[in-house]
Amino acid sequence: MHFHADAQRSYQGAASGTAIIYSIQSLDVRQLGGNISFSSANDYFNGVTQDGYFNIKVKSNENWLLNYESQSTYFTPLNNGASTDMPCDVLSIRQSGSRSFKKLKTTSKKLAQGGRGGSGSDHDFDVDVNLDPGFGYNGGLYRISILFTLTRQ
Amino acid sequence: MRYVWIVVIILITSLYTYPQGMYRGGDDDDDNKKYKNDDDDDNKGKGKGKGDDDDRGGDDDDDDRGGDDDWSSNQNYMEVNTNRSLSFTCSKPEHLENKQTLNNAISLKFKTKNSNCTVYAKLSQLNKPSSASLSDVKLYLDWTSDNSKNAASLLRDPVLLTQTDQRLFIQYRSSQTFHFNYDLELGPVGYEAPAGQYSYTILFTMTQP
Repeated sequence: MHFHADAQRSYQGAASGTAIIYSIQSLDVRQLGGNISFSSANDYFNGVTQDGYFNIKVKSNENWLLNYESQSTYFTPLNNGASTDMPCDVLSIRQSGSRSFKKLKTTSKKLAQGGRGGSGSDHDFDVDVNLDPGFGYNGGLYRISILFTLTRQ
Repeated sequence: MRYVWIVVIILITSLYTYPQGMYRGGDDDDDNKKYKNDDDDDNKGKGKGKGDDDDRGGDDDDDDRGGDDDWSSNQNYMEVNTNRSLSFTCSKPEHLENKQTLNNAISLKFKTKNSNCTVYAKLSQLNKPSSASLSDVKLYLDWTSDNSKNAASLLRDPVLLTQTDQRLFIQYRSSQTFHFNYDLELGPVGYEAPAGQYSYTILFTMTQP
């Protein structure tokens, strides 16, 4: 469209449009640590902690919530003789910088939350793990999967 | 007998004033009735077609608008033409993290015969989600081409549109019809801008000192 105003010696025209921004979230989980080994009695007494076992990057244009849960009730034994009844909650996790660990369950629990954004320490952080099976299970190689879920608040 | 004579005089007067008959619908000017409903003094016509109410006649410009030149408009005017839909959609992370470009989105067509002109652009309207800020949507005008041989101070790099007029270029007076073409770019929007619909209006202003 256009119009003019001679008295002002000014001519104007306009163009209009839209930008539609959908709710967009992105989650990137990288495992930085490897196998967690128990090699001394002290490891069995106190458990083993590995700081920065995961790195998590959250990008979201909505306020977000990050949950975690175990995908199985028990660790999966990978060799003969390994116990089949080692529960998932012998493993605990926490956001690096937090004080207390939270046990891994098959029910979803909150790990972190935040606001809109895609960078900075609120959106790019590490996760520590603690494995404390005690003396109740056979030595062996075990595996477990943790599911991280990002949702908007 | 006196009343009969009066009636006759009125009939004669009417035939003289409207030798081609009377037109309905607000066509009260003295033109040749080619463009009905156009009673103003410009050459555009608020009704259908272009009107012509001046007394000069002829089309001595080099535009393609045809019709008679009105010194106040045809010699000096600006049109903003959108060559495509000015709509952006951000539906995946790449859209938020990278700039989106609408090629050949906007063309300016103008004449500035009377004097030099300066052309500005700004965001005149931005409707956004309540939690969004004005800086969340970054719209850029990116000059791509023009047919001017002597434009000055032309901004060739992308211009971030704000709510304040920014000068795009200066054009020296000429009888030529000028065309300036622009891409329209969005972003990168990033993740700080809340989801929702944003609508905007870009206002171009051509001023003559």
